[in-house]
Amino acid sequence: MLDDSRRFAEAVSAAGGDVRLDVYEGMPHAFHATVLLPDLPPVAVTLMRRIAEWADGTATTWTSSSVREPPLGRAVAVLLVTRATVAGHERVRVRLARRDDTEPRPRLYRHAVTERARRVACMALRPVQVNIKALDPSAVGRFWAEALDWKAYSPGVTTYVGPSDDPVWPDPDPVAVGINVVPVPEPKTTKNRTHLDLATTSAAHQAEVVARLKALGATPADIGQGDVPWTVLTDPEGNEFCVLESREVYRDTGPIAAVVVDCVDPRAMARFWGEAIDWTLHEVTDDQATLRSAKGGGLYLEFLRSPGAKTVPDRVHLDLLPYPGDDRAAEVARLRALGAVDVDLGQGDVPWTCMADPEGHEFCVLAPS
Amino acid sequence: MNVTRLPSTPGDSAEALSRLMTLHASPPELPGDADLTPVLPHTGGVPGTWVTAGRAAVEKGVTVYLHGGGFEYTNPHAERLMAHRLSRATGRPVLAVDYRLAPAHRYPAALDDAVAAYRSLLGQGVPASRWARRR
Repeated sequence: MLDDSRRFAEAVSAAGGDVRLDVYEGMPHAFHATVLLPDLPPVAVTLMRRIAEWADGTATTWTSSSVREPPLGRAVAVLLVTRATVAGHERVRVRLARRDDTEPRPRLYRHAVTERARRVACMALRPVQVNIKALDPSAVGRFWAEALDWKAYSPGVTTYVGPSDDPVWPDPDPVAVGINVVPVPEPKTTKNRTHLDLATTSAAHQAEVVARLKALGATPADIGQGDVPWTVLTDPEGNEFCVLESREVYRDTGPIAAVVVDCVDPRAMARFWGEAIDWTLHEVTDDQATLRSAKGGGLYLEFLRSPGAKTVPDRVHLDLLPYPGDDRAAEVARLRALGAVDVDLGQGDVPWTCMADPEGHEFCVLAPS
Repeated sequence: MNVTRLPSTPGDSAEALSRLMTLHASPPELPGDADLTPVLPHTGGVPGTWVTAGRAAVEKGVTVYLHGGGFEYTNPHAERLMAHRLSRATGRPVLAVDYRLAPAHRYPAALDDAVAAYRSLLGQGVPASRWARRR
């Protein structure tokens, strides 16, 4: 361990990094944990003081306009090295909690992002609408407006469905995610891998919503879901969606509980989407990644691990919008650096950019106006 | 290379060990000045806890804390406390990275998580030269 630390410090130094190696001779394993004590023994005082001195030596004021991508070799490190004794090592180790995947991950990131943080994170995108392709956008738009008790309006060939009474776009509520139905000449051929989950408040409410949607033209669907507490339906053009049983987690989402995306690797999706948009990562496991607006409220974006690959563009995808004043071209470049690729959905020369995430889920980056 | 030897007496060592043992019997509480509000919106898709002690300010930079435990173990409460102490010492908010653990996640899962969090913070405007890391 001491040799490893020396080699690591030498490597950082050789790469031009600012490194200092402190060797605390004769100390037991994990002696640094003595800084947790309410009254510090001498070695803990020394440790805190030396870290503080070292940190002060590297501290200068920086802003978000400072260097964005310095080489890794400029990293600085402080290392604590002990001559561990086997006895001390074992005594500490048996008291540490072992964690496995059956234990729920701590749910973090519940707090709103501070203004300070928003200032530092100067580039961002937010999901602004779910894009649904349709042969008849007007009919599909009317269905979703009725289904969600939202308003539909058609500024042109597309139909926008949103919670606001006024026909404005984007919705003034920064958390709102609307639905934009756009015309395409070809019908749906395969099961979508992106779908909407609708929230209900009780078993009676769920039954009432399902009955109402069927009357509006929804059709029950069997996608191999088996005996589940939620109801799988399709809209008039066959787009699958679910009416969920009442769940506490969705009580404040509005009528759409979640946009759910089938994927191969939720952790990879969390890495990409956690960076691509300014939403907060709520949970990530091998089976699921969940994001939501950092402002709280609104629907969840969920990536669920599902078998099977998709080879044709989906009928349903997310549209992302830069914040006012942000540069759309710079956002697109940032997404490419994160692993997104440009895709041709037959969009032609348009003011938005069609892309796909590292698993091929299509999305578009819209222009702010 | 900058190496500092910090000698100790057998008494110092024995005291450290005996005091360490009391930590497990009565773990200290997280102090009232510990602020767990996220300081930056992204952590590269990797779970983690932000801990900011007292007057620590992100304008000075951030400290990234990769806890010990042989890549197999963690003690979430103690590591949060350690993050608080590091925030106090460095005067910076600390991101304690909750990287994936072995044996459920094999090498290089923990390394991938650490690098993903690191790159994410860089991407949000934190220059590497303002960083403190320790493990």
